[in-house]
Amino acid sequence: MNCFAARNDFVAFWQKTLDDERRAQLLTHLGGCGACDHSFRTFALIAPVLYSATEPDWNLETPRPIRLNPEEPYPSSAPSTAKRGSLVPAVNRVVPVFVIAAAAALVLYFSAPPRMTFEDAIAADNSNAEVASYPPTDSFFGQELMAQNSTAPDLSDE
Amino acid sequence: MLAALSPKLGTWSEAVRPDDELIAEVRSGHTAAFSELASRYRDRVERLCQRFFSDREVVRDLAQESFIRAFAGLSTYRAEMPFLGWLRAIVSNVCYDELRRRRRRPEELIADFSGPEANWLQLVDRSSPEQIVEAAEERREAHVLAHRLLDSLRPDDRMVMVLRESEGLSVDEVAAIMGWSEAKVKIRAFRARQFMRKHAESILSQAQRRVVT
Repeated sequence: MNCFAARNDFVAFWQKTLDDERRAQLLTHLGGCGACDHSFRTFALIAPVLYSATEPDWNLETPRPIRLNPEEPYPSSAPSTAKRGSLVPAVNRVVPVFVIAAAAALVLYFSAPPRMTFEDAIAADNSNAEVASYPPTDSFFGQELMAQNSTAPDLSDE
Repeated sequence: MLAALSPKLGTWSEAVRPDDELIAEVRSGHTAAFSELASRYRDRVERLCQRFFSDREVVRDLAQESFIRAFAGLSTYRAEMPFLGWLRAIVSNVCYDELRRRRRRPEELIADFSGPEANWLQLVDRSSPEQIVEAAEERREAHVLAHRLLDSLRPDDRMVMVLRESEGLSVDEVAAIMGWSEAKVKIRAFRARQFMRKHAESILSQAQRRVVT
């Protein structure tokens, strides 16, 4: 089997539709060809989505610890489903209460008026007639109008 | 005996009724016949949606949306093409709209992995091909990581990748579904494959570096 044929068989091998003879040829080729072996491993990273015939029902699947060595026993420290089950309802009750309380605290914090300092109070009370006499200018056009109105009167003798 | 069997026979005869017959029935006003069409193709539709999105609820919503669009547009269906092909085009466009709506950052490289994902990467790096295939079936993290990898593709590239690789459609079929030129499909396919290969290789090399350190 050459590299081209081997790579063409990746999908069938993944879906377990390859016949025994062809499968053995592919495995032999992968064992001897580093490039195809590497190519298969990169293929395996996206194959679970692109080439799987079915998707597992994850909703029914209970999480379990990962083990690299199949002969290695599962760690005994992993909590059982029954033990985890008693904690989940309590968490479900506490989390919404905490979220609502946090939201209420934020609303109260932002709705309250800002605290006024002594300098702020003085500045607010110091109503300057000159400043107040300016027309409201919040754009460049407003400034142009002010410039037109402030032309000095003609005081020459003529 | 015959009376006892008749309901089953009735169900069986309904199950093998051709699509065109059901479609004609829906068009004539018997909208209940569409539920049979939907139940017939629900698995196929959901499976196609699963190629794009990992969240089960999103998949169900998109399948539902696809059937609603199919029902609304049934008058435009022409019997020359198979109903599944027509439905697939609708599902593809629904998924494409959702991909674009989400506006994922294109070609964003995966920076970190969860513990299970790192374990899966190590398994892919170290184990034999047979062990990888066996393990992939029962590991959710394999699907999650594959989805994360595919999420890094632009929506256009991802559409081509899924329709060409998973659905096995030809270039002209993909072009017809997406309303693109064949040249665009070819370019997208080439670009998507090249990017995925590089991306997957960089992730594998990251996993190898982790093992070394």
